[in-house]
Amino acid sequence: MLRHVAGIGMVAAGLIGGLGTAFAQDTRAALLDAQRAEKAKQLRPYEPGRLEKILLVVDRENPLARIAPHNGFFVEYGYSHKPTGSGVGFGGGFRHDLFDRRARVELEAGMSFSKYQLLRADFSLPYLAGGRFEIGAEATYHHHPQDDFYGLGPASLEDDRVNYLLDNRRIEGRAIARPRRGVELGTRIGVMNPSVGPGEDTAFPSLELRFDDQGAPGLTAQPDFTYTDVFGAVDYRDQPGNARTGGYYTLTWRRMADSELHAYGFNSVEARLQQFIPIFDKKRVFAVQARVITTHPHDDAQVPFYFKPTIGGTNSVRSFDDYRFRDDNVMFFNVEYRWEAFSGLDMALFTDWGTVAPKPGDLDFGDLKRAYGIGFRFNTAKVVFFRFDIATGGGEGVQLLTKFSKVF
Amino acid sequence: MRRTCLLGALVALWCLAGSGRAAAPRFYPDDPIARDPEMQDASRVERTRVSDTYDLLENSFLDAGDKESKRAANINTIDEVPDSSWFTNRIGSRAMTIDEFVRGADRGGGPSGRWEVTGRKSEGVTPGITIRDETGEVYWIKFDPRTNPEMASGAEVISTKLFHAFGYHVPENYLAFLRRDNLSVAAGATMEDEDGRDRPMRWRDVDAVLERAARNEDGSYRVLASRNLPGKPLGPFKYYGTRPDDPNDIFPHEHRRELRGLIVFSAWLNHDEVRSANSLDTLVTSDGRAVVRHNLLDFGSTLGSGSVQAQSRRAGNEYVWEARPTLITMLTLGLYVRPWIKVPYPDVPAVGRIESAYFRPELWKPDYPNPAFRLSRADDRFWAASIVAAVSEDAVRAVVGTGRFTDPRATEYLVDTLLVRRKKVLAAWLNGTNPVVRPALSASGLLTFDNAAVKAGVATAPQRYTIEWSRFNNASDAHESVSSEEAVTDSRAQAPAAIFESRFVSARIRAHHPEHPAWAEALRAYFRRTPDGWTLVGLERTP
Repeated sequence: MLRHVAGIGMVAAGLIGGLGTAFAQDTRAALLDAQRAEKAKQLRPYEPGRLEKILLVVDRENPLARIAPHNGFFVEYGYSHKPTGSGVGFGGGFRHDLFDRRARVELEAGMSFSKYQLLRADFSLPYLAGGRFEIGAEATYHHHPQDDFYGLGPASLEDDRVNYLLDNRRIEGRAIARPRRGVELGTRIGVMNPSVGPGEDTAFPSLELRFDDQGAPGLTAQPDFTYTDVFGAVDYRDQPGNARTGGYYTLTWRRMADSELHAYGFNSVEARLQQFIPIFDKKRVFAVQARVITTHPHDDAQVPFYFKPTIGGTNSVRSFDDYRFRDDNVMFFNVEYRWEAFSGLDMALFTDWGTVAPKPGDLDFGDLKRAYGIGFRFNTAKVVFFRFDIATGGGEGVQLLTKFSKVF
Repeated sequence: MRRTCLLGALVALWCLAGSGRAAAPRFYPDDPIARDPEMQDASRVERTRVSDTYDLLENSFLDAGDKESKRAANINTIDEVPDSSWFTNRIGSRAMTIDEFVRGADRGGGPSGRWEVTGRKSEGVTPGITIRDETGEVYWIKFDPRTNPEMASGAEVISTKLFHAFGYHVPENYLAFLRRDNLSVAAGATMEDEDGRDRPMRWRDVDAVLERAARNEDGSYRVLASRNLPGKPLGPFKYYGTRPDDPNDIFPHEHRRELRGLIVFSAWLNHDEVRSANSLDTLVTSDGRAVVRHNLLDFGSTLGSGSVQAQSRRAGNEYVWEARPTLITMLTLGLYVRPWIKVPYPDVPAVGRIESAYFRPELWKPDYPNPAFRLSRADDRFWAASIVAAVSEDAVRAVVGTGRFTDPRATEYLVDTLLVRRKKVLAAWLNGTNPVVRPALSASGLLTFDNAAVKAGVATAPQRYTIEWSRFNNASDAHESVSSEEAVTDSRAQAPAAIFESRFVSARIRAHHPEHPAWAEALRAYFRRTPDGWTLVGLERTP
């Protein structure tokens, strides 16, 4: 009660004080000036609150640019060429433009919680002809300790899941021309040295315990390969990181030559078509992707199992685990109906269809693996930075997929 | 015991407040003031920074500022905004010539001679550079997007001139033409690199900006040249609270009428980015004193322009974040399509996206909530709408003409659209309260007044006005009624003889119109006797 009385007394005192100041004046101007003179006695700098202070520091220091600068030592979520299924990973290293921005060097190391590793060195002249031409060379070492394998073909069994280790050293040179905006033509030439070993995921058997070289061609011996890629791309998406209109088409031809064992050489062709059809001012988008990869072994050669294309996982048929189906040829289709809930969130209903086959002619539209589900995509106008997809329909349960990147 | 103590304290408070009221006159001899006397020296004010992200979060989720919607704090006794470091009465208080409209804040002709690039603009979303012209003046140069040539520069020039006419402090914004061969990169010019570090600026950095800009067939670039504001930059102001380091800033910003009324001008001109980031306080010298001047700037996202692209359809129709439409859209799998998404717009690139058919001023919204707009009342909006009403059709035509669009459809469409939007603004907000304006009492006791809504052509005359006269005791703040409510059909009435003895009199005026119930809200006009008759000294549209 005393607190109440004291409080009311303070209010009264405040009124007296305030009015006392006002009463002393004879004019409006004097009244206002007196109020200002009173304030002048209590001036203090603006003091932002705690959250605003933090955000001001973020604005000023731009911590993302600090830890992942264009030039300098960097640390990033994820790393270059990080494979699907490798889990949360981080990369870091050093990168810098050289010779007055005529050249660029990148040195990078990456690792995931599943112990996937990358070492990479890249030197390039990326800004030739005003950025229209790029040449470069890259050396990488990949360590994939637990890639999944279920056997080959569309009838492989979930229960046959095993895992294997794949190490790969690669050196390649590249030349890329960008004759006009959205058009890219290029080639890569390189050598690689893959090496297969026992998988390190103890939750599943290692591959060699369940499969032999017939079930997993290339298991017993891995030669060095020389390879040549020729590729072209047309890209007229409005925002590549969060496309709402336009299209993206790529075609890649690859020749993998096994000059050591002459047993595993092959050619492959990969075609990818993405189309984004907007309605209602891009607030609704039908997004469609078709992707086909065919391989063509040289003479009596085989495509090694670790180079065979796969479907399943967050970027293909989402009701299945990563790498669930694997064979020489794959095709899959994704159709998404996306709608903007608000400018920071898109939702999507999706369906995926796909299959694998030993020969291109065996890719059977009548027997497609399928998925359907719903997705939440948190985005800016330019990029999807997080997505959560719930997928089912494949007969292997419900998949809850989170990724810090777009589907396509 | 507790109740007795409380009662005693309340009685004491009442007595003190009552005695204060008795001693504080409602009207001082210098009322109504035309200028807010900002006499304190503000030279110790320091530069502040406002986080754009925090501004968005604070205003979207934290409900910043005062919650109480009360009468604007900075108005004078006749319900007007006195001139100040925030606002200068222009079209609201006097006729402006077309030349004045067209000249706006401009005091020169824009950048001249050869231009020296001194840096690359890192603030804001619009690509740009800073230059120094031959006279040494510094300008911020902003470009039009390639998809919409002339759009952003045209919108910014037009809106700057109109906001100037309304009374706000704005920069000098000029349309200019840039030729690459008229540029040089200044020795010592720097820019921020990708990592936010300063580095020397090169020609290729200029070219990178030009690459993204709309280019004319002759190779030149039409640009907006915004002259550096005079004075020392102090950072943006917030739309609530006061600057604690500015002694003259005593009225909470959310209670300033010119900031509350800004929603009306913003709705008319589709200024969706009306927020802290697009304001700038500067320390200037006025009458020999250092004062903080509060400027509005960056009108690139007005009319149909979204600065770097055509204005988004959401602009003006919905906040960036609104829970209800978001949830409905989520739950209906997108089958619910917000109605503003389907609004058609003309295909005129220089205009972008602005229209008048779907526009409903009372539903218009900036990108995110603004505390001053939230507290904006009918009398604040009426004040601003009265200013809009003073902008004639000829003035609109002339100002749109300063956008110098090469496509005549752009000029024509913008004029037509602004005139229709103007009419809707006036209909919404001149009719939102009692529209009686300019009450005057002659020496012979004849009261005359105007009806702003009728005069603006957005309402028919009322069935009648009713007027009640009182003597007013300025010392005790007491009214003594001397007549019952008298009805007149014209906007004039004779005061009863009984009032003439008094030093102050008041007339309580209401208008009666079946379509506009808000007109019946009582407006009280106060007159003070002067040697020549009576002078309007007070006006309360909404107490």
